[in-house]
Amino acid sequence: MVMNKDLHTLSMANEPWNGEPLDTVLQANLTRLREVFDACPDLIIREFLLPDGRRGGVLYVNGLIDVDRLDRDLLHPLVAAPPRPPQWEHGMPAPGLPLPGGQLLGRMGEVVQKILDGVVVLLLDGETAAQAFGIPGGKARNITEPVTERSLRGPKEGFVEDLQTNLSLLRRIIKTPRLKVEEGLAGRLTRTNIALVYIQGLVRPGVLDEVRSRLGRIQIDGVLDSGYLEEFIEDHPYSLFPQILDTQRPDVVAAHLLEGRFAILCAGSPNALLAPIQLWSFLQSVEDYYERYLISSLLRILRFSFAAVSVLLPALYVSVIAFHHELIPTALVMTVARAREGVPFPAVVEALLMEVAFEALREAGIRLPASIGPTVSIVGALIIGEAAVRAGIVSAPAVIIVSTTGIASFVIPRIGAVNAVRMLRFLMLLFAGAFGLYGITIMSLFVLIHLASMRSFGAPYLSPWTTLRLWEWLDLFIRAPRWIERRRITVAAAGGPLRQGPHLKPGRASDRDGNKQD
Amino acid sequence: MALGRRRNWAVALVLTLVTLTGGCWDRLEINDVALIQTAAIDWLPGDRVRLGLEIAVPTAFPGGGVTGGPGRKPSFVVVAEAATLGEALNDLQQTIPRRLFWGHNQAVIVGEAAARSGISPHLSFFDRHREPRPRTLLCITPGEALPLLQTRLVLEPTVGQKLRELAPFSMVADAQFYRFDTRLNDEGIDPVAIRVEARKTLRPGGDDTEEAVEMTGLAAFQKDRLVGWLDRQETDGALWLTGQHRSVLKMIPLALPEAGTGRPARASVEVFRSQTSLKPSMESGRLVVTARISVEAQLMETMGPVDLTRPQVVRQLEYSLAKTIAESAWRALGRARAMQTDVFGLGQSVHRSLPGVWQRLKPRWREVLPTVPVRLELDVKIRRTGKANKPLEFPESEFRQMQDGKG
Amino acid sequence: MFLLGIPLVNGTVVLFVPSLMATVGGRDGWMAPLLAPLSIVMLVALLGPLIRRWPDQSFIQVAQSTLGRWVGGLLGAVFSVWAFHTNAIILRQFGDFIKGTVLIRTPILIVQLLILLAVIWVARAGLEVLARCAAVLVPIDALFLMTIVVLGIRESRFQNLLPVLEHGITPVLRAALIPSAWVSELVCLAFLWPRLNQPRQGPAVLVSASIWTSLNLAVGSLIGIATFGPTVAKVTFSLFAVARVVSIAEFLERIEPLLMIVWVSDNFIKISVFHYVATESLRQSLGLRERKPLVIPGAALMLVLAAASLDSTVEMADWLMHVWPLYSPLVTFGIPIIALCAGLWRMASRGSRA
Repeated sequence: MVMNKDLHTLSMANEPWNGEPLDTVLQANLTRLREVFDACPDLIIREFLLPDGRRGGVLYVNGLIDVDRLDRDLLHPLVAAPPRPPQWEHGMPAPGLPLPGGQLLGRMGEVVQKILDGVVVLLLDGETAAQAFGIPGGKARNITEPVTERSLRGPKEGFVEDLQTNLSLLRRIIKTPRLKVEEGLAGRLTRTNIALVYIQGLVRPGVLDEVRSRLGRIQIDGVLDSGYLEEFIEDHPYSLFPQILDTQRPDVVAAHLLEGRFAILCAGSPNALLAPIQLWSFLQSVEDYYERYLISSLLRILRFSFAAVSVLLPALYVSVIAFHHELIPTALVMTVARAREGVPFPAVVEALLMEVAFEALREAGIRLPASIGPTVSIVGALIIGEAAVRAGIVSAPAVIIVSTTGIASFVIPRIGAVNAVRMLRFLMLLFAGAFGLYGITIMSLFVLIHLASMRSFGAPYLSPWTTLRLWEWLDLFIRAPRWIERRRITVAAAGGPLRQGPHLKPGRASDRDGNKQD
Repeated sequence: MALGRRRNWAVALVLTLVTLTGGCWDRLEINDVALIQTAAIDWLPGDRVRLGLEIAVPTAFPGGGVTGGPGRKPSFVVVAEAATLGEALNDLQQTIPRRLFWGHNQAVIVGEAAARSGISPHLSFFDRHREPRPRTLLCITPGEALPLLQTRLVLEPTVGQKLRELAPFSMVADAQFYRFDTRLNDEGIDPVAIRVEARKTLRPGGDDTEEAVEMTGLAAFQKDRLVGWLDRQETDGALWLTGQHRSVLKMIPLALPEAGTGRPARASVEVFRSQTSLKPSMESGRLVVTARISVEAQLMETMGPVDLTRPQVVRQLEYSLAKTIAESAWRALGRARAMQTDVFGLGQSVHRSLPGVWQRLKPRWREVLPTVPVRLELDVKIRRTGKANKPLEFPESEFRQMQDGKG
Repeated sequence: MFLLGIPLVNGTVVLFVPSLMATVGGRDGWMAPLLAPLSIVMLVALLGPLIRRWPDQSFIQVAQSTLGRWVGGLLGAVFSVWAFHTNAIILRQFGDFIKGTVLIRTPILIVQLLILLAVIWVARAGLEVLARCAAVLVPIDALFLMTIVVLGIRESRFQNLLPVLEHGITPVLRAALIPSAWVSELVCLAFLWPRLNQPRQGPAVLVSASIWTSLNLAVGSLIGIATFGPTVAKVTFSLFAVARVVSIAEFLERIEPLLMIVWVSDNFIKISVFHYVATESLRQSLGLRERKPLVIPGAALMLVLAAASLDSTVEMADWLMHVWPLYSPLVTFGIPIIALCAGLWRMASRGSRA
């Protein structure tokens, strides 16, 4: 493997000071560190005098630590302590400090690394090692409900940018030592902490090896969001379809962990990645599992149908208008024909124009401040749309179709699936424009072949439909009552065949105990 | 290898793009289509066919919208003469800038002359062409078909739509193209079509009359040749005999006189279900067909002091209704016998139940048909009497008097 | 696997065959398909021992190992040619249907090319992907077919089926030849046996698939006859005609696209399976290592064959009625049987020598 040389030199491992041992003279160390952190005014170096007359220094990055605690729990005890010099050569961290023990650092590289990680580093004159204390502080976002994944019922917690907080959120839900977290780094310059989370015994071992090796292959300057990782580890990089589920909800992550999937959390990103995933998961909402099964099932069917509508409707419109006029009921055909009379564009062009306009409007709306957003959509949708229809540039049915499609796409709960649907819609439209219904059918076949050949970390993407494990259909288009779904979903999971006990269906106590005498 | 793969993809992509951009062979915008609503076929002397088409003008159709408006006629008629329908159609296509489209054709009206000379040649086009729908109505008109397309309409925008909307009130199931074909191809049954005529009617809201298309009965065929007509009452009978009456109103004359006036009392019922089975049997070496008609109805109106709280009164009503039904059924049968046409499928019922007998009778069925005795069995039930039990418009005292008189 | 078999035959049969059967069998034509699985049962009974003896080899490989490379290869080549030819016919039928009903002015070549693109794609992706596609499509198709049939019941009159067996059983038996020729296409599945998860279930799968398709066909022609009576013999695509007739409340009508979707997807699977079988048997008889290089040339060959073999739908129907019921079983039954006999003979001689 030939690596990019520039990248390589920027990596910390290649810096000349990386392997240097620390000097016993404090000032020498500080000077060297000042050189390394040249033009980094956020590096704070505070020097002080120990009671025994030695000089010491603490180093940290401004804003990453709790300065009050630093003063109270580290500096004050050190400076005011009885003259019993801190000794840590023998591996025992500074005694008598009301702080969790520090870690010994012998090399310059380690010191630099720790400082950048947001840890306080303590250097003392005459010592060949520095000591690191975690005194985290600084600003962090509160745990709030994720804006993009609201639910009426169920937990309101959402991930934040801090990895440790996120892991703790998970641990709070799944209290078993089998919940394993493997930590690692990604990004040569950002050195982002990532964590691979799974439940030992549920996840298939092969899957873990695979994901470890895929994560290990990543060589990149920076990882700013888990999305960076997603593109490196997905199975089918050219596919329109998302192969990894991202969520900001700890409960969603926990649910998938319990089904034998693994999660990847990434520091600085509230989005956890979940895999191996199946197509259907993108159409299932977490609330399905919190609401009662009947309404959940109906909503799920609604969602599936509207996802189909969202992909197919404009294409169907075009193919019916421009190819198969006999398919419109007679009563409707006159209405449609009258509405389209005088529209200068062919139906395909009209639909494409409208769809593009809709997408633009949507894109414009997303990033505008809340105060302007509605204005834009009113101007765009109402005024321009109405004027265009009145002027006869587009027909009213096309507007109806496009807006219905838009609404339908909002029914899909996961943005990844929405995006796939948006792109598919245009492909369908093109084929419908050329071959009508036959084109749509062929395009659907193409999509199907593609989906059927896809795998997400070894699990077939269309499973359980294609794997014919019919009991798993109970949680596919519908959500069967929980007391029916006894068997474990095996798409991804290892572990025993059952996931809950028998006879859980609520009923009279006598029935439940198998005691038939009333 | 990787390169080759990429090249394959590129080839596939280019192919797809080429077919997509080049491939709009069948694209035909809805506004480039002339929607045929009704077709009129006449057979002219000299073995020529005249094809008249009623074509919709969507912008003039009623309904909310920005274009169009009142005053414009929502359809226009074009006519051509040629040796075959296809040729006539071709001629018409030359004059219309939009492609003629049969997918929304509602009805084909055939003139009497064409129907009498044998209708099959004219139907061939509709069976073969991919656009006409199998449920298109086949209508026959006494005289020429073309003038019907030019009649004026009030409620429906086109003649075709009017015929379609009228259809539920007539014997249409068997006058749809595919049923016609089925009857034509089967043994022991003759096809029927709807008889349509232009009739002068009173214009709503004024006293001048206008000509409008109406369904006035049935056209009876012998195989594909028109042999005669069934008028309204005969059609009514035919509907009873084929069990196709759906939600019709029937007036029943009653034996009792209307109180005070001396006029005969009457009642109307709404038939909501009727079913007929034809059962042929051999009785002492003779073929007899039993038509069993079961009818369920509910009372609509009573003219006269009819006390519906008493079961025997209802029974009497049922009897009267049965008599009315039988009367029109006999008339229809008589008419069909006179024309030697088996529109009720007596022969078919023999074929199905007594295949052996049918094999014997089949060659001379037309001669046998008028002599086959038909037995009518009626099973009439008036299930409900509506919202009132006794007529509200008669005082109770008068009632009692009547009942006493009768009892 | 079961799911692969259904569209294999359904694809062509449901649309085309009822009218052919009605021509021969009259209004009793619908009974004919019920007899068709018999031929498959026979075949399975014959092939059973073969499978048990060589569970991991196709009958061509068996023929090669027993009759020698050349004779076995020749048999395989004949089978492969049959598969290619049949596939070309299927492709032709498919194109004719689409062109005749949906895309009138689009060149038939384009229609066929489009579906071939899908076929090539899936052929390169492998049998497993094809099976998964079938697993998705078959339930959908079954649903659509059921919709058509259920809605069609309103328009049908089952008295049209009377009188039953008017001319005795003979026309039915003669009509049964037609679907059994189609059902015998299922022998392709026999070729796929070695690829099954559990090859021993092969016979059961084959028989149940054939029964299922026959039922399907029987229901399809039943509804056709019930709706159109004897006219059905004169209608080219009878189920399509049924779909056109359906009308519920004047709005739920014109549902024939459902049938087109079923037809396209069934044919996609059918052509793909045949393509797989054709290329794979060719590979085996030529002793090649890779199948993939054969995929695209094979598809091109089919396209040419489909265009060149027959001139019109009339010739097609004639051919399907008179030549096909003899030609197809000859190959589908003959070759496995030869392979079987050879295998048994070799086994017997070896047994006697030992």
